[in-house]
Amino acid sequence: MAEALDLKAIGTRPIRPDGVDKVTGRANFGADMALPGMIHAKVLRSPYAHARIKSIDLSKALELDGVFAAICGRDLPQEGANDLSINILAREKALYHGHAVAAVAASSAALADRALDLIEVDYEELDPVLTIDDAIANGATLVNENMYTNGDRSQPPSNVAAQQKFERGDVDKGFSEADVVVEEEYRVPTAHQGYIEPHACIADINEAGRATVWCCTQGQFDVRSMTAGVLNKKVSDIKVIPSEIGGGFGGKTTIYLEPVAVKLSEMSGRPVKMVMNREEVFRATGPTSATLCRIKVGAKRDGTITAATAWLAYEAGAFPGAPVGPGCMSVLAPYNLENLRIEGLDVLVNKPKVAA
Amino acid sequence: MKKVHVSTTVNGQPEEALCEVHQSLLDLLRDELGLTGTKEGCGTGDCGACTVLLDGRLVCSCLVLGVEAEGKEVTTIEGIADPDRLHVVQQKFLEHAALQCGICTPGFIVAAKALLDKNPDPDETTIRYWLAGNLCRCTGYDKIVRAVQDAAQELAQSS
Ligand code: FES
Ligand code: FES
Repeated sequence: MAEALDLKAIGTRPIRPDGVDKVTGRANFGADMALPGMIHAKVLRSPYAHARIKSIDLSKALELDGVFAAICGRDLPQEGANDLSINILAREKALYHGHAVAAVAASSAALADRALDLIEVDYEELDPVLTIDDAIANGATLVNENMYTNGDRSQPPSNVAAQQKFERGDVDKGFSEADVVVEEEYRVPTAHQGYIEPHACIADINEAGRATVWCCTQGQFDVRSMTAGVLNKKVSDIKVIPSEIGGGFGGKTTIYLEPVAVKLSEMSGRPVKMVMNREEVFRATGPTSATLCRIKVGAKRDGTITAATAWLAYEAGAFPGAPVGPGCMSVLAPYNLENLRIEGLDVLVNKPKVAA
Repeated sequence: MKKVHVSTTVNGQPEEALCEVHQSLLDLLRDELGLTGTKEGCGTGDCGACTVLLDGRLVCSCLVLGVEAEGKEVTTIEGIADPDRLHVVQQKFLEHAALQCGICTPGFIVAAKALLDKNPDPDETTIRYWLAGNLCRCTGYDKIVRAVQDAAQELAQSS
């Protein structure tokens, strides 16, 4: 058959084009780049899962010899600050254990780390919301006091950022026709993608305000537009050059470091390199959603399903955007059902924002 | 902080470097000597991406201090191939598609070569035990094990 169709690729075992560079150590990943005059930045992260930030004092860190610049949330553009910007540097509240609160650029990464200890943050600890059950309970502590389900301000604020429903037929009638009804509850915990390469980038901005960013990412154009958005810059002012990527699995579709590195480069006049350590990756970068699902199926003895309902609650982390929509679309999709009801909830909790 | 002078041999070449006392051998290789083929996945001895040979012994370079390289011989991924030819382990990794993103690959190759230098005819269990300190999130390990088995076979035939 292969001969008959004269296939060129199918049936062959080509060697991957990036292979030789990867088996010899030549391939450059996110942390492998270096620029002349480069300095290093590190991030101070919240030790609380939920806390009001009453004040941040960077002055002692800035006094340390070898420190070039330090920033916190108030140094990023405030107007139109979106969730991404607030995730990159916390504003009024630290929303999860590991939420970035401030960053320091210094002549070495070790010195930047030492400078972090000199930053004074006054926190007021708040009750954290850590499970879906707690988040949706009556009177729950609010992760975001301005979050209204589906934006509906006629209802009180809630940790349920969005709710969606899909319905067909008459489920009550369907269940009444069933010989057997099974109802189960399923819990899946948060899991991190666990890519071996921690997030890393270098940013260099010139006097005309044009920045170049080298980073490991699953999408350099997204990095460009997201970084531009957070910094209130034009996309044409930012050039992003992707390195090899040491695994991403959906976790490197967003940004954490890039605008901070650009800002610190702007303040110091130096290229700024930022590399997360493993602990930071686990504390602050996107895991998958923890979920709580209740599924009910009614069937006749011959196996015909007469009705099914699915209630899916997905943890979004500290900002809305859990992939509960695709969950709703697929949960009952393999079956030909006349009567169904699917409900999906995007639930805020004090954990890192999910990615993928 | 005062830096310490370190004289060491890396991939057969004498090297001199200035190193802070807290810096790891991994930092020394990557940041002071510019040998970025050795990777950091965890910095805590859990992933094996930083695997190198220190006086012939397999170590996680993130758990060795840079100053400990004084007077020792270090072999990194950059020292595995001949200038004109890949090492058979590298070649077999390519042929068996034993890498995807490639961040773990330098560590695996240094470790696998060390195994074959020591035990030219390892069975599958031995290979899996030997490589148990190297984590890979992409390949699922099977292709890596096959690549090492095939490399062993080829080495046996050519000797
Ligand atoms: S970086 Fe050394 S074991 Fe992971
Ligand atoms: S190839 Fe990606 S971690 Fe091994």
